[in-house]
Amino acid sequence: MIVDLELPGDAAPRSRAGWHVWARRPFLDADRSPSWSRALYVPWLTAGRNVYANYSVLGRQPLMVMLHGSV
Amino acid sequence: MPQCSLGPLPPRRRVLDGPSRRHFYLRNLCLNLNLALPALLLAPLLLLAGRLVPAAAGEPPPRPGRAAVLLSGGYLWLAFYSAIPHKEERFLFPAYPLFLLAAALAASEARRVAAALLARCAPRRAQRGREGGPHGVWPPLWGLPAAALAASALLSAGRVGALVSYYGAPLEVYSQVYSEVSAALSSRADDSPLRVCSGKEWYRCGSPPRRRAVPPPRGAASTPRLASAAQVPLVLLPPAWRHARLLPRGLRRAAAVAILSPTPRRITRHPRSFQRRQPRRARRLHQRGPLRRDRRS
Repeated sequence: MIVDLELPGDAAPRSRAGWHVWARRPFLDADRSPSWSRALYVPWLTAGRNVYANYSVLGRQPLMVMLHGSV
Repeated sequence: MPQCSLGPLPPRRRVLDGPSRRHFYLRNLCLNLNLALPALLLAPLLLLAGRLVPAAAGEPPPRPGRAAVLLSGGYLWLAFYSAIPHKEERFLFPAYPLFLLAAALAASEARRVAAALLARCAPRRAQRGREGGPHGVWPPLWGLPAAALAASALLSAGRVGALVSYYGAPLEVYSQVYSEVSAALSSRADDSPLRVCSGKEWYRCGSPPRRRAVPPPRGAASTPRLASAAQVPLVLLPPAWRHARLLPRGLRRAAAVAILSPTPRRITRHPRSFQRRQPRRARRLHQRGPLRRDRRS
């Protein structure tokens, strides 16, 4: 199982063949978001200005296979 | 495993826990204390000014010396950690109560000083304020404390919301996977652990990052970020493995050290001083082996 933040600035595209996404959430990309909007959260105003990257958990098998055996 | 996920490393930083700028903590306190920060910075001045103002009839006399002794710890803490090049938000957490106490005292002294100034400059207005309001200040200033409190509460709520919604992904991801996977793990026949590779995310501990870090160099004698050793996620291991058995001994010791001292510390496996400290006789016994065991028993 791998925990990873997929930032666009990382050196090379990772070879993700054979890995399955178990969970994925947006995580703020501080380098590409304006500082005023990432400092405070104001409803309907700041969230849209920020840039997000994927924070994901990857596994060797699909999650369903992991949980219930072979599907 | 690392090759599959990490790819080539980003260019190495000069130091893993590199230096931050001098005013890192002040900018950070702008976010965390918002309106209390100016009060905190002005507290020494206001305490001095408050000394010039005699106490009102019902109030206890001002004791700026006592307050200075009490609050100096907070300022010393801030100055000390600002002087250290490696800065982290959490290093300041222990001093927050002192910071807030200083801000509160500053606000209280500011009210007394303002009332005294007003009484000297505009006696008639001050008289009217004393008769009409609870604070003995000019009527337009009555609402000021409540407004400042409300504004500070709003700013704080915005900051909490930012931390939760922008940087909460690691906690959410872990808790989602844990709730789904833990049941499957405990019902499995074999006790083999589900290994968690956090790769370059090894240092993330729930607070927004200062910078991206690279994994420690292979074969390094010390763990570069000892404080992070305590954060290695072990929650996904089956019950028998839940204790820190997977951590190498060095990491476990590092975690214990990290709790004691927030600043990273180099740990070498066999400090030379320790070897030297053994008496010569013990070393000779050690070379002979069996004899040493006999003597001990």
